[in-house]
Amino acid sequence: MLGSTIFTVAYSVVSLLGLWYLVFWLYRGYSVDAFRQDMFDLRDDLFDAARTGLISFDHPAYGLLRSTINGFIRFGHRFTIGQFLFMMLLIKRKDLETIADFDQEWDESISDLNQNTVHCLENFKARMDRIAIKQLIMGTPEFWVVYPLISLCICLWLLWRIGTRQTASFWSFVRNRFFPEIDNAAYFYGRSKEA
Amino acid sequence: VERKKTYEELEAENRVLRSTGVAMALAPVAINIVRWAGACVIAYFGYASIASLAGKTTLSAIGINFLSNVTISNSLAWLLGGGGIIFGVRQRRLRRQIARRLERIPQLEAAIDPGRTSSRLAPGGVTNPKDRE
Repeated sequence: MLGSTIFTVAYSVVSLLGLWYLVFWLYRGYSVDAFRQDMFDLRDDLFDAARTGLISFDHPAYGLLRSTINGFIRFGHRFTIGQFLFMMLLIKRKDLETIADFDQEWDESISDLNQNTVHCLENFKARMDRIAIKQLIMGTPEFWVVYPLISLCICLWLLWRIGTRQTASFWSFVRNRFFPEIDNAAYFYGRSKEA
Repeated sequence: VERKKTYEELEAENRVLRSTGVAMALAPVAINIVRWAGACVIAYFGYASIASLAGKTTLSAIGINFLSNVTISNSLAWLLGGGGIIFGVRQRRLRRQIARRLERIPQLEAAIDPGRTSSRLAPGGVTNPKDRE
């Protein structure tokens, strides 16, 4: 009886340690690789779009998008929710806008393009943001334990928005509130030769 | 020609780089605290369970009830096995995606060298079905 109990305990401990290694080490490495792969695919699709004549390789909008994607690829290993929260706390939004205002440069760069090209490039940009937010949420298993709490807060916030008849979508709120910082940082590091 | 940065831009850049450095130093610390705390909890309950079985009565009652439960133990083993299989399958898929991405290189090379020869592997870097026959 005692022997079988010890065996069960040992079995449980080994399984738990295996799960710990799987989630915190193996999955973490995989998620960075998958994130980079998604960004590489996006960058290749952007390249193909330029190759087929959608936009010139020399156009500022192409350069801006490519540099930002490069920033995400280069620093994918550091792109965690912990890093993001500390950066949100420590970096002043104004400083980031001074050195690399992605949204402003984006608006300026697409101003001379036709409607169809702008639409295609906006799709590329939205895809880049979706890949980034997916990695931010899923790429840091150490923070998964707090997600139920965050989900509850989001539900309460959405109920409050519905109650006060504020109809702006949750995604556009998240995009406008948080993504300028993320895009600015990625653009800044993507275009800098050293960092 | 790249324009020269203003004093304000250089100052802001300096502050951003400094703050990023601090964030990059703090984030791994927070992540490692969570990560290793998990390992310590597992190790503690494992040790405490054995200590409890050896006759010592400690806080381990919770640990022993949890870890010596056959259903929980089996569930953890299934979770580990299932998680490992999912991980392996996804790694394999990722490897094929990368191989598929690298197929672009032959396409671009063929534009420069039309006489370029090929290994004729199937998409994803897998054996060509015709070569299996």
